[in-house]
Amino acid sequence: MGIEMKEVVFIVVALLTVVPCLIVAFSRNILYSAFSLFFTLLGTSGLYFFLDAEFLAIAQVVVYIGGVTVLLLFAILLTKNIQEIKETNALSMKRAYFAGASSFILLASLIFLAVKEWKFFEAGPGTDYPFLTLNQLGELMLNKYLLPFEAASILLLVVLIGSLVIAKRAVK
Amino acid sequence: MFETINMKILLPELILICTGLAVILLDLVLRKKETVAFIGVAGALLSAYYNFSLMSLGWSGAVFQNMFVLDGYSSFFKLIFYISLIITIFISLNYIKTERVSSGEYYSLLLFSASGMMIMAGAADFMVLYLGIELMSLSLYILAGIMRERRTSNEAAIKYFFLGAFSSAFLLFGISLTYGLTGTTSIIEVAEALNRLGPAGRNITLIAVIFFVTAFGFKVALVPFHMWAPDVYEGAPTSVTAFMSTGPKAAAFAVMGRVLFYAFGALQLQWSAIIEPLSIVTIAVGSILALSQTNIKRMLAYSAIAHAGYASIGFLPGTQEAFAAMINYLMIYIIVNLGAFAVVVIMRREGIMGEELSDYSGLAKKNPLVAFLMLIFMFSLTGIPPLAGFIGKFYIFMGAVEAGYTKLVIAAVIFSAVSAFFYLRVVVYMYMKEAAEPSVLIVPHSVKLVLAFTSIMAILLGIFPSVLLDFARASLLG
Repeated sequence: MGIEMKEVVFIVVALLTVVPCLIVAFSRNILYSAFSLFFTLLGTSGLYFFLDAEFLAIAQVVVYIGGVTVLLLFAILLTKNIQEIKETNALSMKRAYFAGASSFILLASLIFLAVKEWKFFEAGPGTDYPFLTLNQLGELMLNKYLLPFEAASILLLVVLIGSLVIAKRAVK
Repeated sequence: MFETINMKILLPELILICTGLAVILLDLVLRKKETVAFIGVAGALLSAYYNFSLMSLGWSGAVFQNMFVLDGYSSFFKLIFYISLIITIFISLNYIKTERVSSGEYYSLLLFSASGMMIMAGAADFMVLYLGIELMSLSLYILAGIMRERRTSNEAAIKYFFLGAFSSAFLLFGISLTYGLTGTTSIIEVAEALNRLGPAGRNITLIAVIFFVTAFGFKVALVPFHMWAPDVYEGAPTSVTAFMSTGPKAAAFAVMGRVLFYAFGALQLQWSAIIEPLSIVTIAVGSILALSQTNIKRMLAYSAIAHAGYASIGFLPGTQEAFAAMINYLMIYIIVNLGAFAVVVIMRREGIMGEELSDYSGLAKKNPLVAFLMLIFMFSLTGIPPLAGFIGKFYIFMGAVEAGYTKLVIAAVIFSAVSAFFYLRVVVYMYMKEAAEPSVLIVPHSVKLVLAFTSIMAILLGIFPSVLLDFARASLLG
């Protein structure tokens, strides 16, 4: 049994996701970080395609690549003295080590548990997710998941009001 | 398709959300800003009326394929939210005028936050639960920072936002792990799946439980997840602090109870073992750090942390009786706390912050009635009989002793005695120190109403303790 085509593609997509992640974290130039983030998000979208979640993959491209990354680049463009960001990063090295160590412990314990119990690698009962077309997805959203869908709309309205409250001029 | 009858179950939430929308629109038209606040109160009362009439008609049940329920459990918590919301609106009337906060956004965000809490209390699915939490929290982040020209208010909003987002990540991680292990996000189905998995398979879901407890620990401010609370409580407008330390705290306890009891009931021994150290450390840290506070809002923030610790003792026995004692405690705590904050709110006047303990010197001479009421609230928060606070603590401790947590209860009682020091210090300032400068204290009618309600409840619930507890027990049954 050699490595099949699907696995090769998966490894490429996974590398496309993880390697730019490292650049995002370690690059001294924030512009490089922003562009690497673009590739990470693209890779994540690829992973979603792998999981047969096409809608999610497309939404990822539209929202994160089309929206968030571009917004981030604009923010960098409009911020003065953006290069001095290095100094603020250096201030919190201790915390960075602490955060790194604790996430490592968390990851290690998760992997340990997964290997020991051998549970994460086999699908639980009822987890064989059905293949969904966009039509079915839309129907689900306005049927079974109507309540979360509407709650999310109220949430977004609150976000809109909140951003106006924060951005508006002081009352005289 | 739609089950039209069952849509009724959502009516209380829908009314409150529509009131929120109406408030923000009418604020543009109406000249008199108090009217907007009264529309908010009317909406809350109407929503409460529908909620309890639906309950009494027996319309309770689940809607949207078990996404949302109306039951006694959620109704009891909703009662807490209504009280918290209406009292907050009443104490805000004059306060936000002094602070020059624009009323439309303020009141509508309060209403949206309360509807978020109601969605949380009624959530029977992790997705709805998460959206409820976010709706509540996002409104609160903005409310904390609504005094934009003040730096402490901005700081409060930023801190609250970041730590809130952090805790949401924990919650989502817990939800996704649960989904991965059980294949469902429905709370009832998770419980069924755990039963199917059996004791051996169940244990791995404990890691999800840890994430849930962490996330809820942030929301109710259990030590060590309490760091945000003092700064946020101090920086936010006082009326918002009053709201934050009551309604949202109870809402977080509501979802914590719903998730732990209903979804992870099979793991009760394990999650009790997680919460036990958290609760006693929370009581200790809250009580000890409150000793050195000179700002009354900070002091009440640490007091709120300690009280969250006392309330979480109610989880430990894992019985319905102990949980009834816990929700009884929460109801008493929020009423008394709102009363105390009503006094803090009226201490803020044009040109006087009134947040330092020294501002309370000689209050007994200036305004004997207000000083006396503050004394009742402080005694009740300490837990001195025959006031309501004593009853709340008594039932919680009794349940824990029956379940064999004697050592924990002894420690909690000792810290309760420690807490007397900082609560009674306020009383000492009011009664035994001379006022620095004579200044008049005007009590608006709305705040008079609040003070009357909260103080009468603090006394009555202490004298007739069984009324509320029986109501709590009955709520949990149906």
